[in-house]
Amino acid sequence: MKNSRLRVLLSLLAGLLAVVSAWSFAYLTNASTGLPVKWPDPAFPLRIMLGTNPGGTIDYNAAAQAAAQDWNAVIGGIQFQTTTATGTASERNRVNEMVFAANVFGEAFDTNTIAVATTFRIGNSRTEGDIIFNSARNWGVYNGPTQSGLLDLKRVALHELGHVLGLDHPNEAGQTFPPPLPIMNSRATSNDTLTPDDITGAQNLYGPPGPPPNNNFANAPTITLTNNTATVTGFNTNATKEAGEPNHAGNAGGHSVWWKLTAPSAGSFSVDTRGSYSDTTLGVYTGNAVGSLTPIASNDDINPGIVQASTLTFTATGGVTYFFAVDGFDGDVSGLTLNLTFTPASGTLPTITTQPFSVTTAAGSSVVFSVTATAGTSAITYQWQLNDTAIAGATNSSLNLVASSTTVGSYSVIISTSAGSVVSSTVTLALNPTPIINLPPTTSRGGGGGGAPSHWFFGALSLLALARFLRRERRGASPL
Amino acid sequence: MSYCHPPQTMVSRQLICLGLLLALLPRPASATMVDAPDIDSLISQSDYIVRAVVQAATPEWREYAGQRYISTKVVLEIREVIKGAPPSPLVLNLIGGRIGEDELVLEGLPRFHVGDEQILFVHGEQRKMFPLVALMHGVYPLIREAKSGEHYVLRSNGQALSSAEDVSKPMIAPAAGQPADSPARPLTATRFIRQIRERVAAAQLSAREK
Repeated sequence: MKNSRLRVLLSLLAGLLAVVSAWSFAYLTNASTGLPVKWPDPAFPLRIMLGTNPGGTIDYNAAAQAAAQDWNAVIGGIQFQTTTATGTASERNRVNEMVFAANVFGEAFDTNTIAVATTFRIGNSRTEGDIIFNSARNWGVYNGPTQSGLLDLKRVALHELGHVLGLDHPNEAGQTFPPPLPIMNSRATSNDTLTPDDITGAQNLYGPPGPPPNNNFANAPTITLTNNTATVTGFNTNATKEAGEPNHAGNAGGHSVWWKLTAPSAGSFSVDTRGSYSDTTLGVYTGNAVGSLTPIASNDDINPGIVQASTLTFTATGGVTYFFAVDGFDGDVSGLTLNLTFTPASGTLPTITTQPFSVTTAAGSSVVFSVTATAGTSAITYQWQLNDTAIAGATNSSLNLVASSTTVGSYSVIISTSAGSVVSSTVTLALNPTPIINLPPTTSRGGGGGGAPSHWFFGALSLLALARFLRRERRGASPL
Repeated sequence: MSYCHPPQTMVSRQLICLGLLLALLPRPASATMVDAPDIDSLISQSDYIVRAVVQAATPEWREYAGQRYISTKVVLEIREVIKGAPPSPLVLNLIGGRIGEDELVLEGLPRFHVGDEQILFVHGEQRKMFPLVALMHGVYPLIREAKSGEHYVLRSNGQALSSAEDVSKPMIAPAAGQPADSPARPLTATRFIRQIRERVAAAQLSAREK
């Protein structure tokens, strides 16, 4: 029972190891930052001092040079620059060398050992890498299946150069592959060329040849969220900084790449560059041109100087497109990873069921604009605007006004919940036009608009009254 | 089944913690290419086989042919001698180490930390760049189960060793998402040492008969 449990636990441990080391590439890392210790310069001078076999029929130098060229063809941030030489190699002379030897620093090879790679570093940079082939072993150059008792120098050189670049054994990291097996596997196989896994591992450190497709802001690819998360990868090797491009997180950088994403609704984004193989900076922007961007958020390090990936969060407005720039701090380059998590704002977005309508009325008239909106159980707030400017205190669903020359204009209302905001239709308040009356000219006879009744008027009225009195008298009628 | 029994759960948690610690330790990048010997070859090439605890690991500058390099002096307290007559304490000088910002790495070779307990296959007085037979194949860290105090044997890459014969197998961790060699029974230090002693005795007997 105890052993059974222990097997389970050791299996878990081994499984965990596999998960932790699920990549094909493990690195010599900086103990402080955890980042790989890379070669700082794009040129890697390599002095090959292997010569030929005693009969001169096998050119070991040419085989090693071919191995270096195979790596050069697939990586962009560093290139082996090979030269050949004769003489005695030196392990610590700031020259990268590839030699046959019977010992290392005067200490003999173990008879089981085929080759050794030694690496010197100072701080975060590798300074020298030497590859020493055990001269006591039997070496040849050939393709195809391994031959008993004869080691293929090119295959071993490819493998060791991979280690000098910083790669580990994928099979020891828990990966299995169909043939052809990676050249970086811990045991030589019939495969004698680099496989996709070998290449991916090296490119994560040094990038592929050529600029990345998302080098420029205008070519930022769109990120697609799946279950509100996304992880995208790329490289900033050979990327450039555009004219007018801002410094991201306040660092000049120089090798930025871009992605973009439109927020599906109101909410917040958490963004980081964990998984990148260099010291990154991260910036988020809105805008349409690289020279006139509006910064939203930026970050250099998760833990300054210690955890040199970047992280930030920002509040997003639904429907707005955000641009994400990742650059290397002080121009660092490598494979990059950008992780995004979107958290939609809680609550329900408001829905307007009755829009306000425009009003034209006489000056001094009372006016009421109103809107009706629903948002489930979410609390709704209102903010009325006049000509796109918030009106102080106008925070109800209705807005009471008195029509005047100072209140005319365009009105709208922003309706908000915790899930975001919507804006009503824009309506107008206008005054009725002033009526225009054509008046007769004023004369000396009085009358006219606004004056005392004229003499003619009173005369005519008297004559009319006299005529009615005389007609009644003639008929003998009783008085009124 | 009694997986939920509190004491066993506690043991499991302790072992998981130990496992997590081991899993999270930086593993060597095995750039050095070595032909893994079988167990008999490993034994025959060893002048000493010991179970020992690292008492000190001190890097220092050394010089060879006018070149300075870093070497680490590892002092081992021997807990059990399995083969040979090693000096006590046993001192190993290993090329590589870190002094300040300077570091020399022989890619792939195990590193020693104070307190580590291991079974070691050692080249004796012969000067070797790494005085362990077949380099990483000559180092077997021990992991201790807290409750029983039993020690189990790992390979230098942290993989559990299931039998003495498996020392010559490639150091391959299980593929992600796949069960880890579940039929294998993890080897206790006691059992591994007994198997080594039996083979040492058999080899000595064979040599005498010749």
